[in-house]
Amino acid sequence: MARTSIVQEALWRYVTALSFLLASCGMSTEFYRDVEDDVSKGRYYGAIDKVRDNRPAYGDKSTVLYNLDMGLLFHYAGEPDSSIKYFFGAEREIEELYTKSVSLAAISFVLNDNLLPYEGEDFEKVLINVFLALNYAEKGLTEDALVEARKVDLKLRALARQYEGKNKYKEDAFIRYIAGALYESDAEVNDAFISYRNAYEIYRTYATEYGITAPSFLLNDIVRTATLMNFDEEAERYRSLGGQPYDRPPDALGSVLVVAYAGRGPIKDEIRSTVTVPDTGGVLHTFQIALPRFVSRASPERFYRITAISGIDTVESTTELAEDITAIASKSLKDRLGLIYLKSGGRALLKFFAAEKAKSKIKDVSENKVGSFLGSLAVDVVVGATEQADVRTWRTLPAEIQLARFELPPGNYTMNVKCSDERFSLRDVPVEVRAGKTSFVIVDDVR
Amino acid sequence: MRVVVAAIGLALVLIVVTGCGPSKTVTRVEPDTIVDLSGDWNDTDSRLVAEEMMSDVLSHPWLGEFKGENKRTPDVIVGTVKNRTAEHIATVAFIKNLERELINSGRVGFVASKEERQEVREERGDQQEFASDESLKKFQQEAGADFMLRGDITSIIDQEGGERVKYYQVNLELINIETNRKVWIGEKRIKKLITQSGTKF
Repeated sequence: MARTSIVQEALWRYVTALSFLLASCGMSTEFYRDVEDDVSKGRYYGAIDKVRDNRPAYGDKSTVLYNLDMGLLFHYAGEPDSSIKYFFGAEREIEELYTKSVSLAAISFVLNDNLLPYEGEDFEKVLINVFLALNYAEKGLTEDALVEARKVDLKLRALARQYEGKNKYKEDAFIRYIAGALYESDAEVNDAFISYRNAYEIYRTYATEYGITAPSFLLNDIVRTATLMNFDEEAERYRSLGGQPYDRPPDALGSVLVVAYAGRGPIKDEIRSTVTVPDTGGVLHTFQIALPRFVSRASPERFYRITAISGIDTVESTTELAEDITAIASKSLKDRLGLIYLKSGGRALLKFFAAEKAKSKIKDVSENKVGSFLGSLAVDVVVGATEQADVRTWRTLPAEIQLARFELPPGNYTMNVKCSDERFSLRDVPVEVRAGKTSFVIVDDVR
Repeated sequence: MRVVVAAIGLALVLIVVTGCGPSKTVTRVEPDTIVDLSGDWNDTDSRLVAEEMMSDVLSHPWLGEFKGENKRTPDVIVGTVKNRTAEHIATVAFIKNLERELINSGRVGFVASKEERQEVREERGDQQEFASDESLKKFQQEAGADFMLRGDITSIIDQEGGERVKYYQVNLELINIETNRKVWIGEKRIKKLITQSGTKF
């Protein structure tokens, strides 16, 4: 009997001590303000330096986030090789984190999830490969870009298994579309057709899930590849849905895909629910649950007018929404929320019992009622402070990815880009169009 | 009680001591030693597949038939081997393995690849201007390949929890360049089981 109470006493002291120590153990995000300021103004190297200087702020529990931020900033900066290096680092680490530490899990169950290594939200894990694919595409390495598209497929299949098919973020239309463009560039027309068609079908579910529709040119892409494959029935079907009929031009054209990152991606904040219940002795007990949620930082709708210029010829096009990262983030977090609820609920209960124990002790030793009340209050404050939602997020993400597609005669072009809000523009971006190939132009306007 | 304290102390000392060992060690191994770390396609896969498939291609009747008709060994070239898997595979290294197996068999001749030919042509062009007449190599004397070896690597991955089965299939085919006729089709499969523990301390 005596031994059990010693153990209990020790445990309780340990938890209290840890509570004080770790109450503010969430990652510090102060420095992000300057990083985001740099990113919004296109000063990517400044942002990279700031993230690097603040490496300690990520701590050893958020190294995945550090790699994700660095990978994306190098991608924005147009340095695919460095970007690939950091993204690979993040991916390797996430893979290793599949093996969960039982001891850390136990502590996190008592305190909060910030003690666990951050392994990324489901959609963040998938986006790594999306950006990797675009890095390889930028380098002209089509085969490697397609490897990344296949990795997305594997990850999405694993997610569907994990949630037994009940998850909302099951498929990614944007990466399917990019895969289609890559296959077509690699003269794999059949695979291109299948990817485009898949993208279109997934965009139909996007319409109900996220309220966005397929880019208008996708139907033309399906009709074109179906016609080239002599899939007459399919060509007719997608023509009737709005695709333009395809006549093979006398001279082969090349494609340019303009990928535009628009706006700042969402961040997480914490919602706290407080429940107060009186015990049999009439003393009030309060316990708290803290849950993460995504908050949009997307600015009012904006699009980009792109002009392709070759000599005196100009062709114009406007970007269309292809991936709403803000919307996907919220849905993806909801997929996981059931699990978080369960854990916070269990944690609240555990802390409640521990607090009860402490309060009854205070009541035993304290003679006056005020002292007892204050003591109980102190315990509640400590317990409440340890409950902290894990609000870590890949903050450098854009809010949206938009696309524009050009089919042009081969040659050298320059592109001008102008945002609909007139606060962002680019001039004379060079691009080479090669017959039968797809060139990628990346525009980043993450402000 | 004292025993308990001593035990805890000892455990702590052990944790500290084991945590201080060198975190990285290097051991030299023979290049043909099979070392599987990640379960990804590696040098061993590349080498073994090349060895097996090339000994298969050389054991088929097309070789004897060609020799009978043309009274010489055929010249072969390796075209592209496409990576259709979900991992970045150095197909260049695999192609080199295929080439080496074929050349070293001594039973077929071998023509330089597209890029290599370009480099050699530049050298030959250079010779026309600068080399002595005796050592000058002539244009339009290149050996054209009779057969082209090409193919792809595909993979299927099945996973459940911490268990992953990776299944690679390497498909190669040998095509007669003059007739477009496929004279040999070979495939080689590799299956790997990768397990990752779900928990650690």
